[in-house]
Amino acid sequence: MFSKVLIANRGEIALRVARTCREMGLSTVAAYSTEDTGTPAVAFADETVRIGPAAANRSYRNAAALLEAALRTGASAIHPGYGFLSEDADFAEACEENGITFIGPPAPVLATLSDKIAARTAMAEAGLPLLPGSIEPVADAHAAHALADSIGYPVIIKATAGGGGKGMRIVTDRAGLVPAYRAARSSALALFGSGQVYIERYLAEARHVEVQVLCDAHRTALHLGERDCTVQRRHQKLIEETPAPRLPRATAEAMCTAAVRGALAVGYRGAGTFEFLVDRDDRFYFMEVNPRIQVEHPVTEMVTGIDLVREQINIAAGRALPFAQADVAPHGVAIECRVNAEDPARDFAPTPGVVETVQLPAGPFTRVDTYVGPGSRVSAAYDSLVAKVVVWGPDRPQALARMRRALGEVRLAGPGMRTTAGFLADVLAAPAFVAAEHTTALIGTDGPDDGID
Amino acid sequence: MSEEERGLFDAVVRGAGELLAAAGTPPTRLLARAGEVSVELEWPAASRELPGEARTTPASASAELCAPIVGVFYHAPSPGEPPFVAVGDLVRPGQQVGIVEAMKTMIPVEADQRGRIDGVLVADGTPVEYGEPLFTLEPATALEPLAS
Repeated sequence: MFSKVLIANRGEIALRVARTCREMGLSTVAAYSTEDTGTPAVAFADETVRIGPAAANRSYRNAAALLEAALRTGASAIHPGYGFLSEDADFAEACEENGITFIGPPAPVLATLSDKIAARTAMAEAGLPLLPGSIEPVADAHAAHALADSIGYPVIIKATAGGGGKGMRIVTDRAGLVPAYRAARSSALALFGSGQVYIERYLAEARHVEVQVLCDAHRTALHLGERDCTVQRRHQKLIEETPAPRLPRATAEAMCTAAVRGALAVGYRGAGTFEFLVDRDDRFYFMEVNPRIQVEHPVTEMVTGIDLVREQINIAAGRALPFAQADVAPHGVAIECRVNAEDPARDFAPTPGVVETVQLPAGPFTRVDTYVGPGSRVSAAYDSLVAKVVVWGPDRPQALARMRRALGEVRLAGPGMRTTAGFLADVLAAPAFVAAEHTTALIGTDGPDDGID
Repeated sequence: MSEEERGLFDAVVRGAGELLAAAGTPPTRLLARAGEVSVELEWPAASRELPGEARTTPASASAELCAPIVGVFYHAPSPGEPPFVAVGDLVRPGQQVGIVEAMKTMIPVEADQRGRIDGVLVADGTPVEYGEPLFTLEPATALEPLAS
């Protein structure tokens, strides 16, 4: 087992990872940028190394700086969190070359899965159902037309190096294809460093259901149930819950089994999430794999009693999973709401700044993952997530009531600060959501999200 | 005077003006000449104060030169060679004062302002963080009479 882990991330996930490390008796090193001086993860960690200025490419995405920090402090493992370098095969490889364990899948597996076309191909070979779409990057506008015609409109154009719902373009008819194709290529290049795109059938009203898997280095792969992440705005998740409501259990089982099959097929190791879309007829289609811990992992933890970060670390240390599939018995319902520092009245414009008043919920079966306290600064340099409010209840109505109560307690105020807490409460009260009849169209999507809100 | 002489005279006066502006204390005597060109400034021999030092206010805080990346700090271009700078050295903007090594990449540490090194804060071969102070220097804003 590692004696020291360097956390190559920030904000709420850095603190969350550090807490489990502390519980496991592992020493922690917080690598941080100048922008995150004095933040909770930095204050909590046993050691800290300031690795760069605010800009992510010089700090949290700066592989040399992170490796240097790990080597100088004697950290034998790096936890990459989510985002930043968590899906970067080159970084994973560089860690291994320097004798540091990357807490995540092996580099070649990361390389396959972070290329969305390679991932699609691998999953198709493993027998997972896919939406009609590319098996190669789209060569040019002419090929885009041919492909879209064979798939049938509407289609969605996505970056092969992309993910996180960013930079995608939906096209409803032939006339819109070429402009969307060109725009998608530019976005992809700007966001992900590669202009390669692929095209898929678009399901306008679907449910987004994903499966959590855990795989150890001894060929044991199992699932921890599914999560419904249908409530999204511009493809960014806002509310997640488990189990997926109104999904026939047979379908959920089939998806979970498919995810495990896909994980084994690519030699997955660690914690990972298989994302699917489910259509009106409860048919499911593979979308992509997120080869890392996810933002919404707490809802799975609440219903299973399993600490996913702990399992990630144990797996990376070569330990066999201490439970079998039959031991995984999700119980009850868990819901998470992501509270962002954004102004819903101004098209969700980010409102960075100092948070002077911080009141966050607590109480029965209530968990809050955050990094802010009174006086904290929400930086303009990073994402706008401020707090994840997570509740558990024995059934969905009670979990909903508990979440309404918890959100009602949220007070986050500061000069110019707005949050989405009120907006989330409105969504929770929406009849379609309460009846679990909502789809990805619940919150109107006004256009592409290039990550620039 | 002729136009040419006028031009020359103006140039000499302009030059004298520039020297005056760069000087810390006013001279006791200024001579400007046009024919065969000349500018002379004279300061009392009794004062040992040089224009450069007079310009620097005694209360000015030391500035710091900081590490541009996280890594290991080295004083000299390579082991055994003399260090880039020592206390007392005058440095110019862009002048290399050290190296920080990160993952086998050598990043030069450069002075970002003019001044005199008055402290070396980190020992050779010490790991440093991004932005960690490596040197203190006394900023100099006036023209130094002697190039270092």
